Formats: sequence, structure tokens, C-alpha cells
Amino acid sequence: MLRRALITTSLCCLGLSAATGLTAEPALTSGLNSFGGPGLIEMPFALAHPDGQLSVTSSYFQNNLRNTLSFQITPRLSGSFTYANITDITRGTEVVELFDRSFSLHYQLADEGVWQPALAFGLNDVLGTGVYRSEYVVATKTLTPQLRVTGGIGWGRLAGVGGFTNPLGLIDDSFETRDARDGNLGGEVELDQIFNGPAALFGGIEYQATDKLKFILEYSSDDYPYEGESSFDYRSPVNVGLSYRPRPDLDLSARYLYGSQLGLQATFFIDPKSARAPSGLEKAPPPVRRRSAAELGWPQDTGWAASPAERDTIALQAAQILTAQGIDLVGLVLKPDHARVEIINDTYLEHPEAIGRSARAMTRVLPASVQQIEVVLVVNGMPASATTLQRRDLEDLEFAFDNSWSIFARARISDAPGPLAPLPGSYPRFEWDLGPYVTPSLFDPDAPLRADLGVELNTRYAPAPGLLFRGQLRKKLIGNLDETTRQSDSVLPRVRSDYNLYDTEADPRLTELTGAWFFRPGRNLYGRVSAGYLEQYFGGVSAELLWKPVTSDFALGVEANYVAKRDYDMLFGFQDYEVATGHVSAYYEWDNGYFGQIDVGRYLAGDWGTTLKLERTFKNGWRVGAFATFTDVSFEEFGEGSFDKGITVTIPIGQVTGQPSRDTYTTVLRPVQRDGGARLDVSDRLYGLVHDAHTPELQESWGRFWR
Amino acid sequence: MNMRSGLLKPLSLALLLIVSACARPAPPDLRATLTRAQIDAFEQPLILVELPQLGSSATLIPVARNGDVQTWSTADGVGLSYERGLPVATRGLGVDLMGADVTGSLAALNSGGGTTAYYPRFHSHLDGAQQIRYLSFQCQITGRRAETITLIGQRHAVQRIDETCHLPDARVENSYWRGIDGTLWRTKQWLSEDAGYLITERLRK
Repeated sequence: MLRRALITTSLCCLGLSAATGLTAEPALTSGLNSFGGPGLIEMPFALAHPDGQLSVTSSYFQNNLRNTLSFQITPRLSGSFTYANITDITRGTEVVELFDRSFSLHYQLADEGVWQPALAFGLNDVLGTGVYRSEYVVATKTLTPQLRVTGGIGWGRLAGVGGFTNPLGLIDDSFETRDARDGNLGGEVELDQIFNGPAALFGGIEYQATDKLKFILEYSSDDYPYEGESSFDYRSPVNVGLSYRPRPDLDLSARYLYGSQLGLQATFFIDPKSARAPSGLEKAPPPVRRRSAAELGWPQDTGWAASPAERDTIALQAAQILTAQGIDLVGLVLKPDHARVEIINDTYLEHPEAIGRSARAMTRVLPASVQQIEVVLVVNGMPASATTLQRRDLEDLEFAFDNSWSIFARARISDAPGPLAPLPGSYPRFEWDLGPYVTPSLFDPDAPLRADLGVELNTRYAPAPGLLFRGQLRKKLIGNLDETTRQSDSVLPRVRSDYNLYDTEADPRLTELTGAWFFRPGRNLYGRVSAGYLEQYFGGVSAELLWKPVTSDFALGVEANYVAKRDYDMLFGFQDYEVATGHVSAYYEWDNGYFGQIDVGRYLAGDWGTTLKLERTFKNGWRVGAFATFTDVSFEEFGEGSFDKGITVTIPIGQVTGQPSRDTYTTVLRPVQRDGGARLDVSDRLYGLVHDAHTPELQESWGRFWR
Repeated sequence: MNMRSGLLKPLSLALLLIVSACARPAPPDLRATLTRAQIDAFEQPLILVELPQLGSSATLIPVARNGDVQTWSTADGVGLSYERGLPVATRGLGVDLMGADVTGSLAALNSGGGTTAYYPRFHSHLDGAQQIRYLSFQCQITGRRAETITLIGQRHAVQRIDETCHLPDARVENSYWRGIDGTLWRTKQWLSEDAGYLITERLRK
């Protein structure tokens, strides 16, 4: 059919248009080096990737495997997280296998001009244990449309070949020496070493032969000090390679490295700002019913409003037509000239689409005297916002070319703290689903990738508006998480680090069983009280209050919990560890696509501190961010990694499949899970529930109102 | 109350509606599977649309009218809306036309000829970040000539009107096959880079 055909064909079309965009002259493609950062083969260059681009890179040459997730955080700043597996690396006097995590930053200082080259600097392995630690300043200039040259100066590991005295010594003598690492546990920046010690030059040339094929020659200043004898045979600093791009989102590279090794690399590019089917593949919305001139005559017939039978008929018809749109009608207030429609949107990622469909559907069932349609978004039994639309605007603007902006200008979005008007029969609500789950465990030094796979049963039961019971039961089918033998060496209360004891003993496991009450204490305020088995490792009570005006980019919240550690069988019992934990949180959504959150309070191990979180938020629901927690636990007490930190990626499922869905997939990449700075993982935190029903985010996705 | 109750007609009609072409690169021609007898037996208006770039085609029936805009639907719920024969919205293509202003084109089509003045045309669509993007065309009638076309066994004497529309970085050619009474029996209109051309044929008035 028309829609289904498009799922398969739109991809081909994208490929076609991209190919036709490249005409006679091959344009130089960007590139990623073997560490996944912007660069040549092993060396960096001074260019940036397209803003917001995510890339996943895997590169290999003898005994050296690197997997990198790289993200262009801003137009100039990119960050890369690399997980490397090096066999036969020399550490001190031993030859060992090493699993190494490193994080690198690349910042473009200047764009390329007519004469001026692009200029960038970078810090490699800023936080890890330092195998790849280095810094560089690099310049890149495009000479002809097919030829680009790069030259740079490196410090640290990038000063391994032809090193000379640090020119920064002219500024201060202390730049000339680079101390050995302090031998920290990872996580510390050790700013005093950056750009210190000897320096060396590196460089390279790229030649774009065809649209898809690029040749690269480079001179590497990395002499592989730890690997160059035991891991492979280092002979020469010159590398040659080719990069082949069969599709715009795929790069395959092959290279001959250091005079002895064949290397291979594959990179997959993801642009969160693109979509396979931007406007979605869901069915057409219900058309607006325009009232006839006769219906709009005077006097208006309002007799229906006094007739319970007619009102019941309208409510029934409204429920039917909204259900057909995947929208649940849970409340309805009918007045002669005004209808208030209370809906639950579990279907469309962007609430404006649900608001638009509800309003259009209501034009088909409401008597002609109703002039205003007010759509209230209900979230976990709380009214989160009310959008009031003039029915005449819906009739007039349905097909205007600027219909989305026009209707937004005429819509009134306000807080709706008042009580709901539940329709008889809309509660209780019960939902359940049975599906697979996967819990991967990355970065275990003994086995870098472990996972469990099984089935999970999810249930949600809402007996009345605002009351919600949740349960999640998991049964493992296959997996090896229980093979972890590594015992926690934590000196803190073991609130997270004995996860392997849970993995071994809990099957089946009750991951969540809670009752929660959601309520609106007043204007701009939202409340939650939860009790039960709140998360995998802890149970107890949790209470939260959020202040979030409907038009505001800013929100404040406070959460208090009293919890006990659950038994390792993850069923009903508790262990002998109880803690009061809670936070004060501030949330801010910048206009230009960034989200920041600060939590200050007490963590599960009883430590006090602060979590900082910064996310790049895309208007279509993609989010890429990082967080770090600093508490009064010292780096030594914390152990490996020094403090809790990680990277989060949230993918809206519907954006990938084209089908409407509010499901998102969030993954947290945490280099190491320790006990310091651990926060309770309770469901349904209020900010996450209500923020996308408020004006700033409704406005961002309002283009879907007429979809 | 079900706005698409019109689709729940006897099976033979459903079959007629469901017929569509999915395969690429050469979609089987939907026109070859339809006969005039089938269309005549079908007691309501019917259009056939084709999106060559998307490799799709389907037949549609009318489901709603708002002023001058008629909305049509395929059996699987894709909606196309035309203002007096010119597309102003698509819903469900994945690369939809969200809205359009075609008043300039309509006026030029109905002006009777002779003018080569430029007039604007506007389209809007959603990009991958869910933002509305506007296309602003400058258009001009570039040709009118008499033709005879045959739509599934039915011949129409028409005037073919060609319209050239300029974008800042591209040029597209729209065509209209207009009957003596003003009916647009066939049109070929460009929607957007992702959707390409939309061909619409009026099989039954």
C-alpha cells in the first residue's frame, strides 16, 4: 500500500538524492581516525563533523582494537569515548592484556578561510588511566577541491617521534618537563601535565579520488611506547590508507600502519536531525468538520447542553473517534460554547500531534454552538497543561500553508491545576505487556561484554486518576552476568558495587513493585508519593514535589526517600542497610537545544554531594548527554574511576521506525559502577513526566499539530 | 460518525481500493490492473495518484470537504487534500506536504491564457528535526496546448497547461490537463525534494 511501500522506498530515495547532490567534482569527505575522533588515519585534523552527528567506530590492527562513540557536541566541540582492548601491552616490566577506557575532546578554534587554515586543539584521554594521554594543536587547509593538508604539533604520547624541547618553554620553563602520571585511579584530569614536556610534529595529506574513495598519507608522531615492541612490530612513522564511503552514513577504511600492520576500520554515522520518514507513517488525521452557514446562524441551538442523553451521546462519540486516533478520552466537560477534553496521549511522541488530532476529532462530534475546544493533557492522573483553541481557527487554518504557526499564535496554553472531570468508565485502567529484555554489562575487566537476555512482564494499574500501581517481573532465559566472580572491594556501603551478587541470586526477579499517588498541590506544583520495591536494589518510600510553571524553561524540585537495601534474591526481603536519601534539583532547558540539571543532596551510600548533567536535546526527541557526581567521598575511597560519571543517549523509537510511538530507548554508558554518588532509581520522576507537555517543548514540536 | 465508513463497502470495492504498487525499481502500473467497467460500477468519485520518486501509487475516494478543499483517502488511511484540484496537504506519506498556498496557480490556470506574469506558490513540510520548512516558489505559465488524453479507457479533450516554478536552487515543471468545463483530469505537481512529483488522475467525477 501507499504507506508501506514508503518504508522501503524512502531509504532508496534518500540515497538517490544524496548521490545526485554530488556532481562532477568529488567533494572531500570528513574523516575519523582510528581513535574515533576527527582525523586522518591515526592523527587528528582541524575539522569538525556536522553539528550533532554521532559516530560509532570500530578499528583494528594487530592486537589493538578500539571501539569509539563520538559526538559533535556543539558545532566546534566534539567528544569521543573509546573502549580499547590491547593485547600484549608492556606495563612496567610486565606484558599484559589491557582493557582501557578513554575520553577525548576536540575543539575547533577557527574555520577555514580563503588563506587561513582551520585550527583546532584536542585533549586525548583526559580522564582515563592514561595509556593514550596526549594533547595537540593542529591546522588543516584545503588546497584544491580534492586535496587537503594537515599539520600539527603534539605533546605527551604524540611527541614520540622526533620530539624536541617544548616551544611553550618560552612562556614558562615548567612546560619543558612532563612528570610521570601520579598513578591515579582514573578520572582525574591532572591539568598540570597538559601541553607539558617534549613536543613533536605530525601531518598528512588527503586526496579525494572519487565521490566515494579517498586516499590518505600521514606522518604519525605516536611511537607506540607501550605497544611498539610487545604488541606489534613498530618500524616506521608513515601510514597510508584509503577511506571508502559506499553510503553517506558508512565509512570503511583500510590502511597500512607503521611499516608492518594492516589496519581496518568501520564507522557508522548517525544524524539525530534526520529521520527516515520525517512526517511519520501514521494514518491521516480526522478531517476538520466545517460548520455550515446555517449551523452558525442565530440563535444558536444550545438545547443539547441541557439534555443528559445528548451529552452522553457526544461523550460516547468523542471517546470512539479519539480511540481510533490512539488517544484516550478520560474526561469531558461540555458547556454550550466550550468543550474541555481531557486526554491521555500514549501514542504520539510529540504532544502537539495528539492535541491537534483531538481538536480536529472533536469538531466532528461537537454541536455547532461550541466555539472553544480546550485539550487537557493528563499525565499519570495529573492535568499537565491545557491548550484552548478557537473552533473557527481550526476550520479556517486546516490547509493554510503556514497553518502550524498560525494556529500556535492563536492557541492559548495554560496551567490546568484544577480537578479533572473523569468520564464514567475511564477508570480503572490496566495495561500490561510481555516482552524481551537485555541487560548488557560493558567494561568488566575480565570480560568486556557480558549480558543477560530474558522476558519481562510489565503491568500498570490505575484504579483512579492519580493512583498508579506498577510491577515488573523478569525471568532470565540465557546469559552470563552471573559468571562475574569479581568481588566488590568497595570501602563504602555496597549500594551498587555488589551487583554481581544480585545477578547470581535473583532469578526470577521482581525489579519493581510500587504504588504511587500523583497530585497537583496547587498552581505550578506537582506531587508524587511512591512506596514499595522502588528499584532493583532498594525499596521504601519516596516523595517528590516539583515547581514548574507551564511557560517556564526552569524548574525546581525536591525529593526525599527512606529506603532499605533489598535481598540478593530480589524478591520481598530486605537487608540490614537503611538510608535516608534525597535531593534538591534544578532543571533548565536552554532555547538552543541544551538541557542542564543539578542535583544536590545525599546519595545512597550516605555521601553528600552534587550531580551535574548536561544534555544536547534535539527537537525530535534525541538526547545525548553526560553526567558527573562529586560527593564527600574521596577519590581514594571511591576507588577506580575516582568519581561517578557517564554518558547517556536517548533515542526516540518512532523517529527510527517512522511509526508513531512514545517509546524511547535510553542507554547509560558508565565506565565503572561504584558506590559513591549513587542515586535511587525511582520511576516516574515528575520533571520527566510533565516537561514535554509544557509550552517550551510544545512550541518546539508544534509543527506536528496538523499531522 | 466514522469518517472513513465510506471505505467499508463491499469487498469488490475494497479490492479496487487496495490495489497499489509497492515494488521497485519498476512499479507495476496500477492503471493496467483497472478497467473502465470496474470504475463505472464504483458509484463514487475516484482518483488515482502516483508518486514516481517514492515508487507508490493508489486509488483514493473522497472523505471530507472543508470549503474549497477536498480530502481523499486511500484504503490504508493515507490522506491527500486538493484545493480545486491542486494539492495542499498530504498525510501519511512519511514526507508529507503539511500545507500549501496555491492561490496564484489557481488564478493563473483560470485566467484563460495570454499572461506570462510571475506569481508565488508556497509549500510547507516537516524536516527530520520536526521543524516546519517553507518552500517559496516563483511560478509562471509556460505553455498551453490542446491535447487528448485517455484515462483508463475514457478519452478527454483537454488543454494542457504547463507551469514552471523556480526555487532558489532548483526549477520544477508542473502540468495540468484541464477539461473544457474546468475539470482538472490530470495533474503533475512537484511537492518537495523528498516526495518528488505527485501525479493525480481523475478516474470518476
